[in-house]
Amino acid sequence: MTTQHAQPLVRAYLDDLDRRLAGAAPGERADIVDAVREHVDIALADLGREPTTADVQQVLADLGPVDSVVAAWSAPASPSAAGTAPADGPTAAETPRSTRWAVVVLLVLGGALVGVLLAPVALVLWFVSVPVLTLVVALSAIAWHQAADARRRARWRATCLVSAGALTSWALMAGALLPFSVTEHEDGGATAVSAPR
Amino acid sequence: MVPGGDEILGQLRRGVVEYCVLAHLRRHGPAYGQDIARSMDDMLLGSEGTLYPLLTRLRERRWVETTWQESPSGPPRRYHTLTDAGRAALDVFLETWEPFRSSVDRLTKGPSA
Repeated sequence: MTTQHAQPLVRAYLDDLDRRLAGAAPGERADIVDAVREHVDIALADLGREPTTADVQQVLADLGPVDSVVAAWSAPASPSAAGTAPADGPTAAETPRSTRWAVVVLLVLGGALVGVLLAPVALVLWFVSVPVLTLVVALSAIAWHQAADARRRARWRATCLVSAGALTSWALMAGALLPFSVTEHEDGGATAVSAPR
Repeated sequence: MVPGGDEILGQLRRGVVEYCVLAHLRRHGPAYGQDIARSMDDMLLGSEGTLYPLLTRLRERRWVETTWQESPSGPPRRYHTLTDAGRAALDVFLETWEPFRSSVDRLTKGPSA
């Protein structure tokens, strides 16, 4: 069955499709090309004999021009799909992997910065702030995983990463402050923080 | 400029065909690409290849799930199954589609006797 890929016509069709889907996200692009390849494999295997060139041409004709497959990928879909299809398709597709990782790192660092800014309040009221932020991280992670379309996933992912960054910065600051202990000095009721000897 | 029939058909397909795929899966159960493509006439699917980007989109939206199954003849096949979210999306579409179609018919053909 795999020898059928050696058919120059099939290979040319799939190569052309792969090239024309260059704007798609890598997973999406591979998924479409693989599905079309499987379609060809099955259609030729269903013949029950060695396919002729005419058979291959017929299968490819039934698939339609590469243009039409690419157009179906980039065509606007239903309004609820606005986040996944054309509106997001090319956008997500044109974002290189390195850029996406840079966005993740920036979101976490941004969250850490917010955490540092809020630290004076958050660490004093840690018994409220830490559980609440932990809950935000957990719930946004679940929402990120279960979101129906790419736009919502991106929104929840940003929430999750920023809050995780803030939580991490609090944890690091708490860890750094751990060697210090709160000691009450009997000097007129004043409370001071001092490092252990 | 007056749009051609193909252009109008293309626009109509974009909003409707994916729900026809969901309807096929609800009616017939899990199906692989060729199965689904064969169930649709030329009016719904311009060519078989256009089904695959659509199935990818439905999978991304988690309206369908895919599993591999061995075939007694030929290579393994990727079967598509409707999810609960896909079933809900189809229900919403059908609730909207019927009154929409009635309104179009009423305006284009006149009120029924």
